[in-house]
Amino acid sequence: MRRENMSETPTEAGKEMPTKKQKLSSDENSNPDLSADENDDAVSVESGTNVERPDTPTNTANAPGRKSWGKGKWKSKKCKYSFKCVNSLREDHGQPLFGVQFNWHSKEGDPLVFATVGSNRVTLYECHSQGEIRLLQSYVDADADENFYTCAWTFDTSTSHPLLAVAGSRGIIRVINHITMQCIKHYVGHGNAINELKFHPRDPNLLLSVSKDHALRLWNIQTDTLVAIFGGVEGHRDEVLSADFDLLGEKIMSCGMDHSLKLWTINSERMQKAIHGSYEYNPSKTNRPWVSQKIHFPDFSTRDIHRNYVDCVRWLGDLILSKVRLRIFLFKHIRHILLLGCGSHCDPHNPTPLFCSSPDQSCENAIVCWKPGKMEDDIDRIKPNESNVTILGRFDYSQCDIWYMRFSMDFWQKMLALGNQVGKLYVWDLEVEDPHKAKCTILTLPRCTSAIRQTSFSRDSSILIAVCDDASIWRWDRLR
Amino acid sequence: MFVSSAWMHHLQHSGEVMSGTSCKANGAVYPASTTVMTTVKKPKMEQIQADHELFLQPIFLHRTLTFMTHRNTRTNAKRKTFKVDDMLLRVEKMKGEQESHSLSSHLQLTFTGFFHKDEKPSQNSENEQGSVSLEVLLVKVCHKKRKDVSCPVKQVPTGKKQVPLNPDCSKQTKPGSLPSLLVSSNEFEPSNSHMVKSYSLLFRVLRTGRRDMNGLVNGEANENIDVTEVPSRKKRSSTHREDGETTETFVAQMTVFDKNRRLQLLDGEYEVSMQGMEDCPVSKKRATWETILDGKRLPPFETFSQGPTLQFTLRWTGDASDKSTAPVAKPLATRNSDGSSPMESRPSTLKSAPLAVKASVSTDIQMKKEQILCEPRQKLRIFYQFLYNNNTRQQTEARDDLHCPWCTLNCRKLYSLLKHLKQSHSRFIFNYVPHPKGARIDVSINECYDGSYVGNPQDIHSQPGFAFSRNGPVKRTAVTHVLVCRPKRTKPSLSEFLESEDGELEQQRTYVSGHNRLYFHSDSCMPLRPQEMDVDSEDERDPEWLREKTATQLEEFTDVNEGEKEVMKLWNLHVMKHGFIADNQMNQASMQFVEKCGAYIARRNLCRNFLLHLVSMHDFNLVSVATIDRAMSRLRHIQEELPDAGADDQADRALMEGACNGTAIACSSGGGGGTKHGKRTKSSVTD
Repeated sequence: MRRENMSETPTEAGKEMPTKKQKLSSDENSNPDLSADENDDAVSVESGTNVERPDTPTNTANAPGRKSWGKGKWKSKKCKYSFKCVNSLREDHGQPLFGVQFNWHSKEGDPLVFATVGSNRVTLYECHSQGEIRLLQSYVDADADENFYTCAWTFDTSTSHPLLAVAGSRGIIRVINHITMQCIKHYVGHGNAINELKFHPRDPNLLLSVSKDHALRLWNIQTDTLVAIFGGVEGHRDEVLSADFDLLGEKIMSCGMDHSLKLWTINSERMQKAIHGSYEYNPSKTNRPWVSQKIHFPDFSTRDIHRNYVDCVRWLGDLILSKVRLRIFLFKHIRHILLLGCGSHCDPHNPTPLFCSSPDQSCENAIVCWKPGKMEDDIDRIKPNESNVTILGRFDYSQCDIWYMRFSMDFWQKMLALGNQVGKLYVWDLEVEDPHKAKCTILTLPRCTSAIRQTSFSRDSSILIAVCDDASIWRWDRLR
Repeated sequence: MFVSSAWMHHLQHSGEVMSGTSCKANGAVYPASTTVMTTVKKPKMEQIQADHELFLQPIFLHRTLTFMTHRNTRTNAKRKTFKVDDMLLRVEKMKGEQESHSLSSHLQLTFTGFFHKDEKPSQNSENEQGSVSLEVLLVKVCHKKRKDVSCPVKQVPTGKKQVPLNPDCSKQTKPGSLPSLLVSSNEFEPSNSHMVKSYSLLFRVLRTGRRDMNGLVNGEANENIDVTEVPSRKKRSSTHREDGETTETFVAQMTVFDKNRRLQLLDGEYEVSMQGMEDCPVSKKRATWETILDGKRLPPFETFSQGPTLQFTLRWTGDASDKSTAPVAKPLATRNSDGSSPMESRPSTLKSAPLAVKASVSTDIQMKKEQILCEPRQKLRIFYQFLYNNNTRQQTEARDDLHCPWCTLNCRKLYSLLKHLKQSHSRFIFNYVPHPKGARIDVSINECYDGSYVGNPQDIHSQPGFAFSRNGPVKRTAVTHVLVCRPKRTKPSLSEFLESEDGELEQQRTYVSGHNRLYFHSDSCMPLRPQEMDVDSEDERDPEWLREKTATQLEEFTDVNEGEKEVMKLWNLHVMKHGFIADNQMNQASMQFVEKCGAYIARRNLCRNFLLHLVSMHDFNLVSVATIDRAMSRLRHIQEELPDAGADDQADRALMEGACNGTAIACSSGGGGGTKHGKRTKSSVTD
């Protein structure tokens, strides 16, 4: 049923598609190694047919000789952003650093603080001028077997102290107040490792944790209550690897090893009541247990974007960016064709096809920008049984076929950064009208050859920190 | 080294209270140094006191421990003849007595002496300074009236006596020769002007000496006490100063009736720790309930061997002239390193003289009996040898009694002491070494000690973490169970405390006490609080998700019409809710379904769909014809009873009937199950 619908989409939208489909499938069969050349074809043909597109400087695909993007040529193009590596250091434990996060809640003028997690350590650093990275504090978990995977910043609503939540393989969430130098909270409950932590964008007390136990949990760290568990009968069927709140904090998109992406709305009456109730619950005044909501049914779910572990997801407005671990030789035949629209700039009632591709092909080795439903569908009216997805763009990279590699965006969502497993750093400029035309800068250093697990921009986007598997930290300052 | 001593002290203290050895057991009277306390009126202080009282609630009983049985001084002899009615009789009798004696009874104080080991040896007390001047005041703290800033305090002088200084305890003094004071119980009656909140006795000892140059005198130091009533005293103290003669003043205060009008001072011997006034002008700000002794922070226990202390016998008597019944004040336990006989706690009302005498006689008898049972009395000296820095350094301290140095518990036997140390102070390792003069106990730090789980397993999950929050005594889980265990006990032998050659690691393990089991919610894996145990929130017969899932799965059927879907959903939820599992339950299930959902079915015009459902169940031999008849007639009955629906509803009904007429019905055929999302069999039924 679902497949039928899927294949309908392009037929409705673009009439020349069947030939395209044919071509692509043959291409893929003949050459499973997807380098940029094949894609290039698709791009150039597609953009040639699209006469309605606004003539942006990047849209010079018709010009003969333009061969590809993602092959390094974009470097020669004038990209808006350029970075310089000013410092690097290595933590003494030598274990992979899985997470890095700048504190975006710090006051203007205060030194930029970021935290790294890896092994059983949580380390806080301060960035200073001339590339100086000053070690502030380091916390070590008493259990040597702990391996922290992720961290997230928030602040105490009464004291406005910055708080750092960390979690990892033991499945215990710890909240550290680095002003008082204490672990002020800890939450047990997850049945297995925690892969990502996120704070609600508007309520600093709401913490989302995603776990290997196939479920997500929403905590209220002010009243120490578990607001809700997202998972169960229709939830993820394998480790949840990543999740993200949308900008208004009304929705959560989660993804995991089951290749699926699931949408959970939290502005429903039920969830709003639960969140409100969690603030009013006072365990010292009542013998009644706090009842967490068990949300078994996501508001939307898809397995059509990726064909492998989806290890990172972020909202970009109403669109979603998600990334998959690459497994190049497990490709299957193209079964259906998806429309890749031109984003919100298009007339929603008359979506113009840009190019088409198979999801198998387009979504590996690339971050995909997509949205649930059809181009014109409102994300807030999406039905749980909606089977369409619309892919709007992709950001290509290479040599990133291990999982648990996260991309990041800056505060204003103008830049997207991702490292690969040989220490190359890709930075895309998202400020283009067409998401798939995003320009890319590749930052490389001969010394940096280890897998970059995560990156983080400072709030003012002036600094980009990357952390690697060999416990090294790389500071890139933006050149203005 | 003594990190734990502070809180252990508290713990043990509470144990003391519990075991009914209120004031006499250790000879220590804890409120002794609370001079300022009762007069400082701060809500915060009251809060702290309330907390303290709460904390002193019974936690555990030493006398029930097998190695402390000698601490249990009660006999169960009376239990055989005990009748519940006796309790009422006794109270009634006491009430009558109280009324009759209330006008004539007295509080009698017989002072044994004032003990203060000074720079001088005690034989000097034989000279002209053989006595000190003692003044006893009754302090009444009244309830605050609206106009008052703080609680008004009245001081009623009850008399002055010369009390022997450092008398020799071994010499038996004639009972009549000791100075004695009487306080009429009239004084404890509510006075007319102010309602009195609490009564306490203030002891003030004036000792003239040569040492002190500028001793503060009482008027100044007692800044918190309203002194307007005793101007004469002020004058007197100032003359003292002009004489150039130095005067040391020691004070102590004891509560007679607390604010709940509970009697705090029962009959018995008391030794009160006195506080030198010149050393410690306690200000309001510094006032806490802790025992702070003249700034030197002597442990409370030490106070009683050093002094200054005042020893006296307290009795509530019915007749002021009857002095013959007054017991002879004997030296107290701490001086003889011998356990004094613990006193039974009694109802906190005034007692008549005969009762009191009887009580003291009975305790005497018990004490004698115990002395026979005890190991031969000898002066035991216990050497505590503290080993530290990997046993490279040591420090030795000796004690002449069998009190636990950490919690002052009087163990009274060496075996009990060693057992107690080992069981209750697991931060340390204790090894017994025989010694010609008594015993040596090697004390070293227990590396295996794990305090993180002390008390309550709930604490592990409390916020913030237990490791950061614990800085005082912890209360154990309030859940208790009586476990009966009668193990074969080996005969107590001191050899079990000797250091073993192979350094048994197992022995050093902390004894985990209290209820240390933690439960978790089955649906969220969150820790369960003890008070939540009775709430069974995790019944999984028809959880919400399953109901929703059933409904959505039925919704996906394409070969069933809407009316059928509706009935199927209702039926499935009904079966799920009541847990019908067997074929022969279907008759009952059908009838129950009509009762529960009949009105809804009638309203939604699903009667015919339901009938079809019953018929197909009949086809599978699940229900009898009789059931179909009964169910349908009941349904019709319900339908008739329904309030008349509006015109729109009727139109709806007609529409629905049209839609449902003559359609096929789907029915479950799963082996005896009533649920419908199993295999489906289509069966056409003509109505």
